[in-house]
Order: sequence, then C-alpha cells, then structure tokens
Amino acid sequence: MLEKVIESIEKLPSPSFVVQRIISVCSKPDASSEEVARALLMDASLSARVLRLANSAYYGIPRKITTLSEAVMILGFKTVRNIALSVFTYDMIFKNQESVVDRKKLWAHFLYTAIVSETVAEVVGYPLKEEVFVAGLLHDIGKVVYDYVFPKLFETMVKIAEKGKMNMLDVERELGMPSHELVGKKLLESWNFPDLLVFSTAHHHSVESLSSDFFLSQVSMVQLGDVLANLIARGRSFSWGDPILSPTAMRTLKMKPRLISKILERAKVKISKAEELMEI
Amino acid sequence: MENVVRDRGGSATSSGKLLTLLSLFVMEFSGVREEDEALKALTSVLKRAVDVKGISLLDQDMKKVTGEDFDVQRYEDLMKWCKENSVSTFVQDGDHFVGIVPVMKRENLFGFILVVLPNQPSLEETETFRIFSFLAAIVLENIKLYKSLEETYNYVSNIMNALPEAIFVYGKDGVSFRNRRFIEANFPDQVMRKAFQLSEEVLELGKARVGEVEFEREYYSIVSQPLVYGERVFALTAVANVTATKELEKLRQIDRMKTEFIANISHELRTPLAAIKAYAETLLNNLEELDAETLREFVRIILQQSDHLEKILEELLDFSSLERKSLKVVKEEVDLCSMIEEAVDAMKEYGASRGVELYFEPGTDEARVMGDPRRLKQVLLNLLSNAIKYSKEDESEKFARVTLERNGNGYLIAVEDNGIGIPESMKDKIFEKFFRVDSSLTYKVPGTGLGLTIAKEIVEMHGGKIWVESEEGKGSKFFVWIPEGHDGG
Repeated sequence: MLEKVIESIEKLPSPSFVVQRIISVCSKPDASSEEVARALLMDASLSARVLRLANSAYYGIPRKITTLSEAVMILGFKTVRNIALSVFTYDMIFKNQESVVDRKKLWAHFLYTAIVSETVAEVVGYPLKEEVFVAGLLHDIGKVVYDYVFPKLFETMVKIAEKGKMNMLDVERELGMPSHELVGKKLLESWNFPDLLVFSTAHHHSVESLSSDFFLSQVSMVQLGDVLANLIARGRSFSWGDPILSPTAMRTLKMKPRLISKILERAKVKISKAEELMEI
Repeated sequence: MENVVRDRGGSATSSGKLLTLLSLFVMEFSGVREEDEALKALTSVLKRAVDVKGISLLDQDMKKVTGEDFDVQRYEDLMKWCKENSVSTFVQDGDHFVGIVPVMKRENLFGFILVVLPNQPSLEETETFRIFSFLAAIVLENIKLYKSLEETYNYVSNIMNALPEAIFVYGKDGVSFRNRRFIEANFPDQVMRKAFQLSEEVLELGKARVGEVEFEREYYSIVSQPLVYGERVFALTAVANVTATKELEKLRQIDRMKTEFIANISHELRTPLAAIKAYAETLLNNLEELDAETLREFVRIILQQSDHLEKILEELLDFSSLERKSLKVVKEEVDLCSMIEEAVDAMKEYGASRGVELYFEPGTDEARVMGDPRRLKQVLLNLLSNAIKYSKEDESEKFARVTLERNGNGYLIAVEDNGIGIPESMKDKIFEKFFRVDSSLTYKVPGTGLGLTIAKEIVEMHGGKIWVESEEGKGSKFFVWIPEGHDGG
C-alpha cells in the first residue's frame, strides 16, 4: 500500500520553480529583499496574491505595502515565504479535480493549525515563530495526498471518522493503511523540504517517538497547535475523536492550563482577522 | 531542489559569524547590572554585526535613552505594530533604510532600537537584530527580576531592622542573619553564650526555648524558636534587655504595696482608736455606776491602746524619716546584754498573752558596742514582737529565744522561734518596705509591714547586717550582727 502511495506522489503537483526559488532565497543569509521580490515576480499571479495577502487584516500593517520588496522588509523574509507557501498549499488542495470531500474544511484546519502553532511559539517565547507557522501549515499534508491518490476511499474514511467519532489516524490504522503522518513525511522528503517540516509532519501525533531532540520543542508546538485548532473548529481536520494532548509535548513546552487558555484566547483573535486567508 | 533549503543554520561562515557575535554578546553582557547598561551593550553588539549609519535606543514609552536623534513620530505607527505583534520591521525612508526592533520577551517590552542602514538589510542582518534583541530582552528581564528580588529583600530587611527586638538566625553553620538592632545592641559575652546555648538546644530539640540572664544588674530575656526553611532548620532567637521592664514591674509592685499599706495602716490605727473611744464613752456615761476596779481596768486599757497607737505612729515617723534619709542614730556606748534583757522583759507580758515563752541566753558576759541604745532596742523589740506575732497556734511549747555571742570584730544576736516560718521565695522580700508575707488583706496578724524595713535600716546605719534563716512551718531565726565600734552613720 505504502509503495503505491509513494509511486503516486510523483504525480502530485510539486512546488513550482518559483516557490522552490523563494524557499531557497529565504534561507540564504545574504539574501536581500530585492532578491526575494525578483524571485516572486517570475510568477505574476503569485506576486499579486502575495501582495494582496501582505496587506490583509491578518497582518494589520499600519501602512500600505505597494512593492514586494517592501513587503519583505516590513513583514520579514520568512513571513513572505510563508505567504507564498500558503498560496502553494492552498492551490495544491484545491487543484485536485477528483476530490469529493469538503476541502474548505481541510484548508481551514491547515491555516488554523499554522496560526495556533505560531501562537504557541509566541507564548512559550520561541523566536523563530515563522518556521513553526509553516510546520503547522503542512503537518496534515498527508491527507491531501490521500485525497489525490484515493479520492473515493478518502471520502469513505472521512465519513467513517465523522460517524464513528474517530480520529483519522485510527481510521487509517483500522483500514490497514499507512498513516497520514508517514505519507506526508514521504511527500515532503521527496520535495527536499527542510527537516523541521518533515519531522513535524511525521510526528504531530507521535511526539514521543521523535528520534531527534533537536526538533522536539518545535514539533511539540505543532502537536499542541493541531489539538487546539481542532478544539477551535471541530472536525475541520476530518478527525472526530477526542483530541489527545501529548504528555511529552506538554512536558517539553512546560505547558500549564493558564498558558493554554492564553494561547486559545490569542489564536482566536488572530483567526478572526484571517478571513482573507481563507480564500486565496 | 537546492541543498541550501535543508540547511539548518546557514553556511559554515555564517554560523562562524554567529558564534563570534554570541561571544561578543556574552562579553558585553557579563558585567551588566542595570537596564540602560544592557541596552547600551546591545547596541554595541549590533553596531559590530551590522553596517549601521545610526542607532538609537528608546524606552518603552518611545523616549530616547541614548544614541542619535530620530523623528520618532514618523515611525510611531510601525513601532506600535511591532510591539503588538512582537516582530521587528524595516522600511525605506528616502535613500536609507530604517529598522525598528522591539526589545521584548513574550509580552514584556523593554524598549526599542531604531537603526539607520545605508543598504537594504539582508536576511542575516534582520535575523541578527531579532535574535540579539531577544537575547537582550532575556537579560533585561533577569535584571528586572533581580531588582524586584533585591527590592523584596531590602523591604524585608528593613522590616527586620525596624523591629524593636534584636534578633539573629542561627543554623548548623553559625549565625546566618542578624538584624540591625542586634548588631547595635552589642550584648555582653555572657548573654550571647546563653543565647547560643539556647539556639543550639532549639536546633537539637526542634522546640522553642526561653531563658534569662542577669549580668551587671541588667536583665536579659532570650527567646529562641525553630525556623524551618525548606529542608533546613534554624533557630530564630530574640534577645532583649528587660531591665526597664523589670524595674517597671518592681515599681508597680511597690505601688500595689503602698495601696495595701494604706488600707493596712488605716485598719491598724482604727483598732486601738475604736477601743479607746468605746472605753472612754462607757466611762463618760457610766462614771457613777462603775466601781474602782473596773475603772482602773478601763483606764489601763485606754492607756495600753494609746501606747499601741503611739508605737504605730512612731513607726510611721521612723519610716518617713527613713524615706527622707533623715533617720538619725545617736551613738554612745551600749551594753548589749542589758539592752537585750530589757527588751525581753518588756515583751514578756505580750508573749505570755500569746502563750509564747521568751528566753535570753547570753554567750558572753560583756558585749559593748558603739550605737544608739534606743534604736538598737527598737530592732530587738521588733524581732521579738514578730516572733510572738507569727507563732504557731497549735504548737504546744511556743518560744522565742535570744542568743548573743562574740563574732569577728562584733557581736551576733540571734532571735529564734518555732513559729510559722517564712516561705523560701519570700526571704529576700521581708526586708522590703510594706512587705508582709500574708500581704492579702486578712488582718490576721496586725502590723504595718514597716518593722523589718526600719530594723534593717537601723542595723545598716550601725555598719551591721541583718538576715534570716527559716523553714516554713518550723520556725525562723533572725540574725543581727553589730560591729564593736562604728564611726559612720
């Protein structure tokens, strides 16, 4: 089964040259905002959408941004990269002609998890919060793979999860399918995406089995972000079982109930401003 | 896909640069104790890391702390946005670029750094600003915490130092805290030895201990109690000089005794007066009907009671002159033997009335001293009268024995009885003014409570000594020692 999935991965839409170029530039120390702008400009539609989103209520910049270079300077390299990656992920979800599931829900879960995970980073005081945002954004990419490879089967799985009040992970296990963690991991690996994204996708339900301590905190943030995003909007992830907070993640982040309510409170405010990100 | 995407922290050169910057940061911040020092150290590190044209440091309220002057108002909107979103930002302004870097940790904002850059900032430069302002914020938060801790400590120390008690904390490793009052008090070694001893006991027993030390006429009270701090046990010990309190207590007691004395003396005066009045009235109303025998008896009683009254008044007068330090003794050669005989004879009748037999057993033939015969006799009369007064009612053979013997360069008179005796705790006090063992107002035994006080004064004016040996319920033995010849007084 896994082999079949891996074979099909090649048929899935992969990041365009422009997206790859942006990711690459945004991790080059001597990169300038001009360079990022030039990379973006190679895709006119992407450039327009990035500029529009940069000016959206979600970022709430008090000045109007007119150029991409300005967007990079004001919002930061990583944020602009995140916007570009969000556009790409959004397109990937919605380009699928065969899909029969409610993909708006799935996108909402992707976006909410990104926002909540980033909020977790803020609250625990992790400076590279933009990296956590992408990790949250892509953590469930395995579900998109299933939607491409077995659209019908995936629809059935979604129904089973909803009727049986089950988590998607348990549905996959019962059907003897590889988990969406593993499938997502394979996809991101094939795209040569950064390790953090690979690890957080592969372990967002299994923080305790993470082999690398280097990413333990960041993956824990995504785990908590995922659970809280599910609490904020039930079933958007197609998982209907009880949300499970990982003890390992809680311990790693030194999480306390007071901090969790703070995260929820702040994330809800951000989500309320994120309407423009729902349809990009 | 380019390999650089999977790079964790940038290229080798940039991570080398980061290490250098981190080292600089550590160096600059290691001596920092104040908030503005920390912010200045931060600008110094940033200046070396990034090519800046100008740098300025603002506080939380966007007021300049140090550095170049900026038209802050131009960037106020962005500064607010940076603060709300915990992010730094860069904008083009004319031909240069301005960076706004909030120095904050979680929601705590410590200030802003404004930088002017000649060129567009690179990714590395923006990240450098962000990471180092973040690190600085941690240092600043620690400084704040340290300061608030220091403040709390000072606050508590102030309270400790303002306490009227002198306290110290004692543990296994000795004294770990002393308050100012304690340091200033500079207690004598003797007192401190006791204080440490009690503290040791507290550590050992885990129970409070109290003690008192008298040193050079000063009284010290020591209270030590266990103080549990985490796993460790200390002794919290308070030392206080309670001399003033003790004296106050004494004064209060004297006051109390004076009140009792007045009540007592009124009673003492009223008893003979009432008798005199009653007999005089009877005489006046029934003069014709009374026979000579009865008349004589009545007049004898009146005279006796008048003598008693006179004696009380004399005692009061003596006491009053004693208080005014004007009691006088007129010295001449006195034969103690005959003086004692006279006194014993004078009291014989009173003794007989209470069933007390009086003896005098002189241990020497001749005993001559320089002294006031009237006063010395007064002392002896007082001792004998006490021996009779405080006789034991159910004793079959009541007695009061006077002995006289040569002792050193003087003579020792002892008056011994088998009366009710004096409780151990009262022995020192019976010579104090107003004091009576049965100081409750029972009037069981008549007396002013001044007799022994006056006796002691008289004996001391002769350069002598008076003391008592007694066992409660068995009897008392008063000693009076008078030197042969004394010039003072």
